[in-house]
Amino acid sequence: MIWAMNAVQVLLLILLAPLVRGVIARLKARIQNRRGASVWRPYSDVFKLFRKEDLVPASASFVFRLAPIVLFATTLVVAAFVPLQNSFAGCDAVSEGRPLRGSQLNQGPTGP
Amino acid sequence: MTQVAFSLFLVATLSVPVVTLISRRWTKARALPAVLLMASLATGIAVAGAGFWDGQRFTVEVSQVASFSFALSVDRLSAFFLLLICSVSLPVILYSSSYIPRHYSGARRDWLWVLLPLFLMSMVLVVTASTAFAFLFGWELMTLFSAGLIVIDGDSEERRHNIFIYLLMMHAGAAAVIGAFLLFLPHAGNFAEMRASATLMTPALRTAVFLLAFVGFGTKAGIVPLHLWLPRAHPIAPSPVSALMSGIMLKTAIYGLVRFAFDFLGGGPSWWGYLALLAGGVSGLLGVLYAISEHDLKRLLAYHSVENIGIIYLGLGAALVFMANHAAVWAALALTAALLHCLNHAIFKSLLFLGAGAISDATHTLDLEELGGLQKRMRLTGAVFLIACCSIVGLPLFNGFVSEWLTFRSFLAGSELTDLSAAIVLPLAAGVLALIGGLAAACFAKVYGVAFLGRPRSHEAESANEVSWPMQAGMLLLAVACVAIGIFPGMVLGSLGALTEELIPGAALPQAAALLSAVLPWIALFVLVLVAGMAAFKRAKKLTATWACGLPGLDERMQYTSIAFSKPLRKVFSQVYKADRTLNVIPADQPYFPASISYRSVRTTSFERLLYRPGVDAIVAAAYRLRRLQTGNIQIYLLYIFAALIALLMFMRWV
Repeated sequence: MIWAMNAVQVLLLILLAPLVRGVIARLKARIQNRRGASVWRPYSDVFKLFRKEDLVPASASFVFRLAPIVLFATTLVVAAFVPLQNSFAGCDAVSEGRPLRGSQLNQGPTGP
Repeated sequence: MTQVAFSLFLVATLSVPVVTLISRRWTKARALPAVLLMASLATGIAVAGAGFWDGQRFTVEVSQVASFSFALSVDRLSAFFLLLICSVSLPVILYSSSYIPRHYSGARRDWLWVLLPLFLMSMVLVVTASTAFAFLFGWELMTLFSAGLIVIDGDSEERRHNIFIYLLMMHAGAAAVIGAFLLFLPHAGNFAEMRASATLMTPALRTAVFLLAFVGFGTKAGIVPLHLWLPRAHPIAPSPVSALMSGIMLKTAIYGLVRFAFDFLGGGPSWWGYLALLAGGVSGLLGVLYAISEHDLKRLLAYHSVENIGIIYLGLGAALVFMANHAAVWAALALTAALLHCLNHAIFKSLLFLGAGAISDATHTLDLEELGGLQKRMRLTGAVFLIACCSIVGLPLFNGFVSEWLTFRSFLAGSELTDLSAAIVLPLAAGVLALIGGLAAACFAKVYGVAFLGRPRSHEAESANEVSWPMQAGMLLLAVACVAIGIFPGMVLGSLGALTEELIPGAALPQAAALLSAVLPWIALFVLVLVAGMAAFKRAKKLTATWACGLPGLDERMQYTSIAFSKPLRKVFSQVYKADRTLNVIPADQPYFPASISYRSVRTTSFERLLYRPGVDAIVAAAYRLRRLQTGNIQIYLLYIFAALIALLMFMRWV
């Protein structure tokens, strides 16, 4: 159940990230008294960019090619480990001797 | 059995110098010393592993030297440091087996193979000694052999001055260590007696022991302001020797401090911890800030040793504060983090120094401004150097992360303490550690980016070739260790927990540590699957020239330089550097079209000038005044002897 929730969380993160950007851009435009682009604009941008070919400079090394992939992958993994329930549940789990899940890594001290 | 293997290890290592000198003229046996030394180090790893993982204890009574007892004994703490020494020096020796013949010949090469095993042996002696005499014997030899190894590269005036400062500070530190041992008199024989007598000491005497040990071992460890020798001595040694000095020798000082503060004294008032936290925080911050402004690779790495020793001291300080506040569990976590960081730093720092050696082997320079584009020319060296950079800045899935995260964890737990000052200071120290980590990341982005990426900045860098296979293999072994501990920290954390339980009564490693070792392999698996999945997703690719903003003729001088990269940070922390800048434009009346332009920026805040110079001046002035005693007149000297005799007789009368 919790694994499913984590999977949904990661998927939502990927799917909603461009929307957040779109809303921010729209809000900025409104504050500056412009109309601004549609909030769905970043989706079409991403779609367009993904269809373009990669340009790789001749002097670039494997770091150039791998860095974006690694950054994206680590962001997803971090998103998967962000805790879902509130932190006091984690403390109780420790005191009752139940094992903790990875998603509770970021919480406060669960000490003696 | 283990005892026999340990004796075998000692004898085999000590036989390497003899074998080197005997087989000197025998050209077919060139590799013999290296092979013998590696075999004996492998034995050492097995012995230390039995001591560390299985908790075996064993003792070797070497001899009775006069009235001093000379014994070696390995408990878990010794076994851990023995493991650190043997397992890190094995790849370094493998690397040296190719590096030394390429750079040294004749007598200098023979001396290296004579001194290297003796240097290793002296460090082994320090961490396994169980009597004060054996410890101090090893401690002094360690200084002398390392100085001998530095001299092999030449003895110009400047180098001699640096070695003089190194020896002077080491002897001053050793005097403090000897003082700490003498305070245990009349129980200063073996460690067990000292441990027992420490409980009967008055608090003032305990404080004196701690302070002497803190200063004495701090000099060896290179905490600010006792770090003066470190950026001078490390860069001028041959690269494998720098790796051993920075990776291993500094850790013997941590061993000494842990032995005194935790094993003998069993912790103390909480201001001991605050002192260690202060020293650690200042060393960490100044170490990394001085490193950022360097562009000589080995000096930069030497300053990073100061920084990492600072991180270790932060962990030790937190452990002392927790012990004073009776929070044994968190003290165990902080001490475990500090000890693990010792191992981690030994691995990645020696890897970085070996990488620097490979760079100088291929390009004959260590100036970052003349490197660049090495990743394409030295693929394996570049890859392992990148792993070492990721480890030292504490990125997850590399070993530096594990120890730094555990240190963070213990600091944050400090907010739960009832003592208000500890509850404020410890979380603040977490902030200091975070700042150190961020600055280190900036510094190594600079090092890797400038040296390995982009285009070569000099002809030497352009014609660089990959180094020989034993050098690559040595570096690869260390890189594998970085990743292995980063993903499976459980293999050392469990036994380190057992070790801290022996040192801190009533402690048990908190769940945070077990949790980390349980979750890291999964994170690694997820990242690996995701990266492999996305990398397999083939897309249309076109090889082009780098875009130069529309200008024709892309030039390597258009790249970021090391100095330029660190400029924003140097500007933010300008109060730390107080840079003295000189800009020379020739001719002076044409500022926009100069024939030549030179820029120089020197850091003016130096501890040498502010802290050491007044003391040195005072000592020299006192020496000049004392010179009046030496008149050269024999009658005066006879008078001195007579006066001394009278004084002694009167003293005996009173006593």
